[in-house]
Amino acid sequence: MHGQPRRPAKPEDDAAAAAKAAKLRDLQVQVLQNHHSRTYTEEALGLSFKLLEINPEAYTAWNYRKLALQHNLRELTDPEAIKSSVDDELRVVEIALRQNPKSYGAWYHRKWLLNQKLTPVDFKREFGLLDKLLKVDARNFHGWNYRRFLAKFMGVPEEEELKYTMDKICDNFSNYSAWHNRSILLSNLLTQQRKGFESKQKICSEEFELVTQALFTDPSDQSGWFYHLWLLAQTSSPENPQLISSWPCNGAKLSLSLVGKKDDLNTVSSSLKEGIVPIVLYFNEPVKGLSPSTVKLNSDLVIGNNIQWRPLSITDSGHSNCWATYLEITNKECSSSQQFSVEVSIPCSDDIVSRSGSHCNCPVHFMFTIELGNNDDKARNIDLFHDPISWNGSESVQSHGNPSSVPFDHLNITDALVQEESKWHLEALSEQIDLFRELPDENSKFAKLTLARLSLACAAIKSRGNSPIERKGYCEEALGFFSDLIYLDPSHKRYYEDERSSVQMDQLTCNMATFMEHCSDQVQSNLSPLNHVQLCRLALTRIGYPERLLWVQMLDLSHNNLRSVEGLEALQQLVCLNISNNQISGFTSLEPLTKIISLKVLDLSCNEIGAHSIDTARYICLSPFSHKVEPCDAFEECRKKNINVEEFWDAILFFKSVNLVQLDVKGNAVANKDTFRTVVMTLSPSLKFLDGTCVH
Amino acid sequence: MADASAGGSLDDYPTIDPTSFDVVVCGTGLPESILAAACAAAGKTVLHVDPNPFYGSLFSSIPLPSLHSFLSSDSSTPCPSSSTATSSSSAAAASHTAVDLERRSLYSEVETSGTVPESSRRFTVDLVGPRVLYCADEAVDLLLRSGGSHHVEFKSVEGGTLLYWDGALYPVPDSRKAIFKDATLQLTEKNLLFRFFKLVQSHIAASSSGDNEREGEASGMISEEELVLPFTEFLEKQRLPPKIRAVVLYAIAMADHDQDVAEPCEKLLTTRDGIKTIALYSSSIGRFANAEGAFIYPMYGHGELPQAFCRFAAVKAIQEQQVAAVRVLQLSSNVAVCPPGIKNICPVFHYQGTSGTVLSCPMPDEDLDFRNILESTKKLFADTYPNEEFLPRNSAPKYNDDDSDSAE
Repeated sequence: MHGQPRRPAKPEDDAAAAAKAAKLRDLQVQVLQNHHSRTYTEEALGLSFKLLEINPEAYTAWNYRKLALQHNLRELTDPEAIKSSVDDELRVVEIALRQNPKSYGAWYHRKWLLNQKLTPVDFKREFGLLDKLLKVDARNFHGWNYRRFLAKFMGVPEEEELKYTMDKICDNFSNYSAWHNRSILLSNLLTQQRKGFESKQKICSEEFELVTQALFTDPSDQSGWFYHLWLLAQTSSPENPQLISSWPCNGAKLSLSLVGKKDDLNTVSSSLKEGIVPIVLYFNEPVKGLSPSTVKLNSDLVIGNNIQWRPLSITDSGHSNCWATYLEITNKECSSSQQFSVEVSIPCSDDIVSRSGSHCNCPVHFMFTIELGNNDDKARNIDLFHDPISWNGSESVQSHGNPSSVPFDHLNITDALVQEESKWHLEALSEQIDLFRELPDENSKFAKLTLARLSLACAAIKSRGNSPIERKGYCEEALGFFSDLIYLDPSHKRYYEDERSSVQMDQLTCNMATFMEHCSDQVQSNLSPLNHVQLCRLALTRIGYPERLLWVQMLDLSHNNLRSVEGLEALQQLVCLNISNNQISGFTSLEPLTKIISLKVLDLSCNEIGAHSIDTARYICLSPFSHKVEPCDAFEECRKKNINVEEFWDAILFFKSVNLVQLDVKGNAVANKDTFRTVVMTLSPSLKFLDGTCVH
Repeated sequence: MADASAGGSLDDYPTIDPTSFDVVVCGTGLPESILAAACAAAGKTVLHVDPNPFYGSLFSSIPLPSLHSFLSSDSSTPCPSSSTATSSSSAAAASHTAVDLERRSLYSEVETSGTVPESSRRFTVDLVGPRVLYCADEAVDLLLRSGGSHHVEFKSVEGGTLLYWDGALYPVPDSRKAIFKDATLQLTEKNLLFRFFKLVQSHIAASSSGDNEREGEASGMISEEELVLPFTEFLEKQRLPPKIRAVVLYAIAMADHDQDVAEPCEKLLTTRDGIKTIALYSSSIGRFANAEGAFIYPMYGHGELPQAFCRFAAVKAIQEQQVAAVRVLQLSSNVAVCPPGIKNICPVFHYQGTSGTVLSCPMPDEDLDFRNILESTKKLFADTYPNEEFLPRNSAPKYNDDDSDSAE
């Protein structure tokens, strides 16, 4: 069934195929005719059967048979007669499945039939058929789906089904479906705390033991590694979603003045978007359900009642790691400095749920203050971006500012969350690491990748437990594994590079001392000092740990290998971003930037925008940017200027959603096109500097 | 060449028609039966005779109660055929040569003691000793090819092979599935064992596809230098621990001598032979859906095997009446294959002509399978009929219930 090479068709097959096609067309026409004329005679049904026998994928024929059955049953009252017509229908499905055991239509028809509950289901027969089917192809997921359906329908205890997966795994452990079903069943049994499944630790240990038997026997078989990955997730991540970071952080003092200097270590100036203060909440896993009723805001400021929490995610799933709301400060009429406090509290709530359905069970409370500055008219009239922002980083890093002024990890939520089970987690994971080190296949990519993931899981636990040295050891090991993998398995190089970048970002930002080397205050004329982070020439390919950068206002990521900027959408304070000299290949990969309302300065120079005729990011990224294209004013406006909208649709969508003052795009293929300049100029009325020259 | 018509004192015996045969096979042991079947399949006329009242000669299976009488007759009474032959030859000396066919005794010395147990009827003794058939064995192929499989019932050797190691018996992990399920092996041992299996598999695949040009590990082949090494040394080179080596050597490659001797001797399995056997073993597993392990055993003893070939030869003869005639003759029997009208024929052969030679068939050997016996039988056939194919593939007579790929 699997791993059989496809033979090239012989010339004599062509003739047979043509004859078959002619016959099929003929049958199809007749069946459709009967369908339209609602002819449900025995003869007509026979034709549909003939069609399905040859081609079980004929959905209309299945639908026709459903209608015919319902029609014919109306005239039947004798239970025997009903039973016989249901049996006939079941037989048709069986014959169709013999032709194609993976026919969606046929399986669906059978489930539909059973769900009609016209006659008592002969479960023995159904399970018998399934056994036969799975004997021929133990990995047929349709069969497994149907088995789950039957088990639920009949009320087979999940313990029994778990035993069945074990039998199948013993027959041949190279069975993704069996392992997969096992993970589902175990999750359910553990959640329900069924007898014998009270201890997750015990079950996980047993499962680790089982799967390592398979992994060691044949490390080149992927199915076991997938199951191991699931087990790893069960063992390393906290069961419930947790808030891990926020902006503003606990105890922060914001000053909403247009000009000024910091006078307090904890003061963060939020000077640019006057009157608007974003609050960003960052969770350890994607959640949904944040609303004014699940997140309580208390303040002596007038903040209005229409608080809305928005997911800062570019996917449409509704789940997001990062949520934001924007406070509009309305009481500005005061003339002297005034302080207001804002309290944010998230009580235990069943409404904030993760993808797996577990809810936030760890209440969080934090508080920050907003100082409304003395906004005199003189300050109001200052042009904030009179001169272009310079990215001359080397000068500025140490030039100003006290490193300790950076609000680092003020939200000490993570410490509080070191759970008791971490200890067991760490033990189980270390055991696994020791085990896989013994695996004699030094060059097994699965083993290396698993070791890397195990090390990272350990590092994550260590960071929760505040053991920086051990944590560093784990991270470095993981980095080593990823470097090996890039060499060993070049076809998945990009994935490994991304993973490596993430670890690198973790290394750089996890502790104060190393992070500080990259942080500074940047002073630009007319602007209050900006929190500046410089992460240049690190060969980063993607952004990791954005939750640690929420406070950054000026970010320099130039001279890396970034292909995506996903994660930056969480940085709601970001004013200036430098991603020059990276590998950004199109505006679709910049979509996260459209979520940053404060972004004013963007340096995109020397990337690959426009260099590739096909925008692969459009297919690779989860970004629904391209799926949301609908007629909008921006397109109309561009059409009026004779811009080829089809060619620049991504640029149009990007520039209509950002509000830049300064942009650099030189060194990209797209920048050489005059039309592109027109697009930018048309859609960015606020733009003052384009590629270093003043345009407005 | 051989004339079975007798003169003088042999008038008591009916004559056999036809009276001349290409081949006369005496004895119905496994090699003789296969030979008879092969000759019949090649279109030769064959006379197949046996002085014993049962099939199988030295390859038969004897019910336990009859064992004693068999052993005593075998060792003490001289073969009746030889004496008769001598006496009759004088009567018809002119036109016939009488051939003295003396059977070699299987046992040099026989000693029995004790009484036969109560339920002894349920036991059969295989004279050829304990042997097994690999599912992918050539003997099994021959049975399938000749249709002889329709006359034998097989039983899968259940429970797999056991290995005595370190004072205890262990089931032998002989497949991926068995390695996975095995509870006694260390994780690394599992890995090494399966890796070794994979090496052998890739070697077999590479060598069977005729890919001999590329040498070394890239082609998955085991190098020529390694193939001539003693197998045990090769296994050591593969870093297999002692217990795993024992599994491979004695339970899978079925070495019947201690392979860990210091001196090189001919009993030492070479890597080439060892791998050949493993190939046979692994292709045996799963060949038949209803055979669990690698081995099968004839349900009613090894005596079934020669019978199957005899019957094939007989069926063959009936189907191709013009070219071949095979008679299975028995002194007293009610076996259906015996042609009607022939009873009580004394196995006397009057050997006529000059071109014929007398060849003897292989005797049972000490091996645990039939591979060597089969090999010598094939050689015998090739020597006699160098231009004929040995039991060609399409020689099987047609049966209505053709389920030739099942071991039932």
